[in-house]
Formats: sequence, C-alpha cells, structure tokens
Amino acid sequence: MSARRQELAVAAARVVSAVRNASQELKAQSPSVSAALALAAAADGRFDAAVDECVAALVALTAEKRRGTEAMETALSLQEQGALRTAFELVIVWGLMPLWLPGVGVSLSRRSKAATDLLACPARPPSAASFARLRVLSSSLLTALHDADIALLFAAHYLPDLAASLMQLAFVPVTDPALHGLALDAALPQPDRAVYADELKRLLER
Amino acid sequence: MRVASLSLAPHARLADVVCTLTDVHCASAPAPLSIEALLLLSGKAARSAPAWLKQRCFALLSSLLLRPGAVPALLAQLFDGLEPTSMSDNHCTFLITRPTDTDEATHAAARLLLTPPAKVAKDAYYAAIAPQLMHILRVAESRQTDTSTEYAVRTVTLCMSLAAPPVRVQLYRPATGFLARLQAGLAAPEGVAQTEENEGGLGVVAPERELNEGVRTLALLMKCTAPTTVAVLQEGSSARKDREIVDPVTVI
Repeated sequence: MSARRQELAVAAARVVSAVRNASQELKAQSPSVSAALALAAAADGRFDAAVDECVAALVALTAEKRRGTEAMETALSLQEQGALRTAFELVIVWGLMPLWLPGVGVSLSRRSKAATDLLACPARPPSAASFARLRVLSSSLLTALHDADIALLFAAHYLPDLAASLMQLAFVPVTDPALHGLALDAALPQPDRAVYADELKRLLER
Repeated sequence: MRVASLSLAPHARLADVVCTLTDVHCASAPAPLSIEALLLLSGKAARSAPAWLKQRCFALLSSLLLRPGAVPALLAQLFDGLEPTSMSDNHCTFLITRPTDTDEATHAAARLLLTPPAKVAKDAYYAAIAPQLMHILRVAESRQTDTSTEYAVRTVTLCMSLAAPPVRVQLYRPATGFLARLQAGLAAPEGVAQTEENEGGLGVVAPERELNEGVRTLALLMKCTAPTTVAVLQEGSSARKDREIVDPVTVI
C-alpha cells in the first residue's frame, strides 16, 4: 500500500472524526441551542467546509487507489472502509440533503442511528447557487465511484441518496412550485440535465 | 371438464426464486440495490415524494425490468418477509393512494409490471418480462412457498389477466385462460379449488382443451428441460393423474 494513500486515508478519517465529535457536542445542547448553533455554523460555511474537505479526500483517495496495480495497493483496509463510510455519510447529510427539494430523498429521521447522530444542517431554499453546489457534490461523488471497491461500498448504503440528487438535477420540472419561481433553465441548462439523466441511468444499471 | 392442480409447496421463499434466477442470469442481472433505491425514492421511505419524482422512479423501474431476473427481484423487494396482515401497513403502500388490502397491493404491482417504458415497444417489453413471470410460476411450483411467494404468484397471474388484449392475444393466448383460472383459484378458493388447496396445491377449473393448451404454452415459455409434472384430477373423482412434461414441443 502506498504511503501517500495511507496518509490520505488517515487524513480523511481525522477530518471525519473531528466533525463528528463537534457535531455530537453541538447535539448535546438543548434542541433550541443546537438549532441555533446549526444555523450559525451554516451561516459561517462550516458545514460546507467540512463537506468540501471530505469530498476532496474521497476524490484523492479514489485517484490514488486507481493508480495502484497490485492487489495489496488497491485493497481497502477496514479502517479505510470505515473512514469512507463516515465521509460518505457526512457528505450526504451535510452536503446533499440540505439541497434537496421537499419530498426528494430519504429524510434524516429515517436513517441509521449513526446518521441521525449528526447535527442536521438546515435546508437551503432553492437558488442558482444551491443547484450549482448540488451539481458539484454529485459530480464529485460520481468521480469517487469510478473505483469499483469504493462504488461497491457506496452502493450498499448510499445509492438512493446519489440517485435522489441526480433525479432532482435531471428531472425536476421547471414549473415545480417547490422552486419558488427560480429560473431553472438559466441555473441548469437542458443539455446539462440530460447528462445527469444519463449518469443516473448508468448508475442504476451498474 | 377437468381440474388441474398447480402445486405450491407451503414454505418456499421468494428470495430462493431470486437466487435461482440470479444463478441463471448472473451476468446481466440488475442490482436489487437499484430497484430498492427507486422504490425508496418513489415514496416507500417518504410518503410525500412529489409526483414528478414518483413518475420518474417508476419509468426507471420499468426500464430495469427488461433485464433478466429483474421482475423476481422487484417482487422480492415488495413482498419478501411479509405476513398477510402486515402488508398494507408496511409495504407496497407507496404504490397506491389508499391501501386497503393485499389485493390492492398486488394489483398495483401488476400494473407497474404491465407498464412498458416510454421508448420501448410493447411487444419487446412483454417479450422481456414474460419469461421472468413464467419463471416465478415455475420456481414457486417446484419449491415450498411462503406468503411473499404467494403474493408474487398472484401478481404474475394478475399480469396475465390484466394485460391489454392485443398483447395478451399475441403472447399468452393459450395460457391466459389457464392462468386466469389459476388466479381465480387463488383469489376465491372455493369448491374444488378449496379442496385442492387443502392438499397443498391450488385448484384450477378449466376445460380440457384449454388446460392442455395452457400447460403446453407454460412448458414452452418455461423452456423446461427437466421433467415437470402437472397434476390433473378428473372432476368428481379422487383419482389423480400426473402429466409429465418431458419435451416442451411434444407435450401432451
């Protein structure tokens, strides 16, 4: 196993562990305090920063892993698998979920205990910026899934989440009332939407 | 008039059906995870899924069903591990607006199976799912069944009887009468059907000519190579005669 890859995995695990601990501390507060802290954290971009760090680590790990040729270089250790799962969870709960329109995807309350331990990041009203971020995160996750082992690990638990994001990008009607009048054609041109529809089909047919 | 019994052994699991199909079609079988994901997004996990999302999920599900082994995988997701009374509470309710009973859920599943994807010709779609439907019947016949398998068989037979006439005539004309009666036997087990069910099978009343045609078509569709038997009882008699299907072409 390359030293660089090990470093990446350790770094990812460290990021994930730090944000999870911080989240649990925040959740230990009373609900109203937690909600206020979550709003403050969202306003400061702390959720986004943590998500971006995890996404970057995931993509880098995938790239590093794909460079390996020997089984020993490409196999994931249990520690790496655990870090990956947590990173995925964090990216989904803090990254994707706040960007979903009402009724899209699986809500936090219906998830595993591990996911519900995370402080809920407040939902964002639909805007050109929120759709742009959803595109970036979905594309990054798709890139991370280029590696078969990582894709397998992801699909076992989080396939519906990425599918939900791609569905929203590809198929939400421009006249949907949940968009509150957002000019979706400008924020997300039709050719781009077709690309996400293709990606979704490929993902489901794997 | 004769009475035929298509035996459904009592404790087979639909998962076994899926496993068998996966063994056969391993290379191109769709991941059950994709099917599960689409069902979840269509409202299984969140009842408030918007209409456009449900519509897209079902369209994608329909296109996945073209792949070998997908129909049993879907029915397993819908019905596996169910008790008769729990179904309307926990499963399949997302398929219908106001679930009231299991019949409604099997009808909803059948309607889903019978809806071809937008860009696929009806004939091609039905040609792709027909062998899968038949395989469910065949495996259910040869193994012990449980509640979920029974629901799956019900769904399959409903598909046969609900199929639009042109399609039904093209693909299932000889078998529909037989299968419609099988469905009737499942839905309202009374008279002879009830008697047969007590013996561990499901009773079907059909004219002999139609029965023969039905059995022959089933055999052809199943492309069975191993001998399969269909028990035939003379009405009003307890004598039982097993008809063995050895060669699908020269059967009966």
